[in-house]
Amino acid sequence: QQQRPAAEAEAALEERFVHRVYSCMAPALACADEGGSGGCANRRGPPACVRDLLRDLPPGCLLADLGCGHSAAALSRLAAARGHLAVGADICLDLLLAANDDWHRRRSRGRQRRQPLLVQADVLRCPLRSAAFDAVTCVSVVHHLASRDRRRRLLAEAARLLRPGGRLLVTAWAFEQPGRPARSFNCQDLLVPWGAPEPPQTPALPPPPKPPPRPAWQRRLSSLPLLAGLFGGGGSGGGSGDCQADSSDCESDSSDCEFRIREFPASSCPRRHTAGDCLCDGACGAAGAPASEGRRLRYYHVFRQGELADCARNLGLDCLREWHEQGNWCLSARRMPPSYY
Amino acid sequence: IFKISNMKLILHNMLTSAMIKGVKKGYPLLLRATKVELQPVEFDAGFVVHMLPRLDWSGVTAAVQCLNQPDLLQDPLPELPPTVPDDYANNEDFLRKAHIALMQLDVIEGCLVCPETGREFPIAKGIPNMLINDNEAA
Repeated sequence: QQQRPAAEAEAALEERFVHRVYSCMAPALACADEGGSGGCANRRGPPACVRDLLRDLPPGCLLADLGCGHSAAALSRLAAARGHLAVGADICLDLLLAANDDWHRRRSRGRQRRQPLLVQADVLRCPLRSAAFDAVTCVSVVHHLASRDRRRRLLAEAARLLRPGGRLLVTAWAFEQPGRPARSFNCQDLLVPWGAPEPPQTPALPPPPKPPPRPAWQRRLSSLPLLAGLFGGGGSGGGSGDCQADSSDCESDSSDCEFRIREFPASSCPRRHTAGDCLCDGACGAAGAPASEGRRLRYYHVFRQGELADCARNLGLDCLREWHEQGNWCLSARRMPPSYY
Repeated sequence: IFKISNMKLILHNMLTSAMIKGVKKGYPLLLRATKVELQPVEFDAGFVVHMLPRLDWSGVTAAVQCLNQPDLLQDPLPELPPTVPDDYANNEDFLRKAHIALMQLDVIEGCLVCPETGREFPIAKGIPNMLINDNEAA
């Protein structure tokens, strides 16, 4: 019961600063050049890590793409080239219709025959059969979820969909950004403008209600992997190493966070993107977004190194590899057989 | 502005209503179609062979059975055996029938129904809407 108001606030935040924004932007995404301007991940179709996964899988696999967005047709085409079948699920009908539109355009140019399979769904309440999929991709989705609990629920759903041995690929915007010198955001929970970067006008949201502080003995216990789940997962936001020293920082990230407005550093987003330069997931609105679109804020929880793997703990997933790719953390994991959990 | 597409039975095969509170299995969903068309889709035997072990065949036969309504489809529905034959990989006749069922039967209008609660999921512009309300969630 204590969780209820917070859970509603989280869902409301996502509705206002994720779903509504994408719905508004869907027509612009649909009209963009092939490959889309909605995000550098989509600039030339799905990102490299997804292409690699499709190549690694033996031919003829079934893949679920959670939070597929408007690039579902592009993924579907890439999957079909390897004999795979991809099912795309997204909460936003406008993005799915944009994906369909994209397919029609490709089809009329003779570039894609097989229609993408799309379903409108909440990826936290996923209407797909358990253990039916050889692979699940979740590209640039988990960073739009407003609490660790919800982010874990997404990964739990992904794990549920996978057959034993199936592969999971999750990507999320990184707190640590590449560059010389390397930079990071000043906070993990952000509202990022989409469109011409101007100094933000909107006042910061009030912070969510603070849960009562946990006694020291509980914080120490929760840093032990086995018990982390029991105490709500706080105190484990850092890397895979000893969390003891960082426990107060982790707690402040996950429970005390203020949703600050961060003006995205415009100087780091050249108007003409080149591979490797892009830092912003299209937030600067470069490459085609009309200037009159105005500024829309999108909510992001940017991930620290090791945080994706930490989020995936005790969900029946064996984390294989985490790496940094174009400003995002990528995690590759394998579904363990039922006897392991 | 947006063009539409249609729902294929291979997608129906993946869908469940198990995210609804109290639902034990939620599969297969009933298919209440009011408009169906047989689309030309190129037969790819290798694709069907790869997909068959990944599908729930009882869901395929159930979906086709749901479409067995008078005046729904001009063309005859493919006759499917109750189980996948052992020699399916080499049985072109069977593979072609499976292909028709999975890839060519387009549901243009209709809805999906939870077999346990009767809850309807509309199919709009070829995309099934499987969103549920907060009070329905498990």
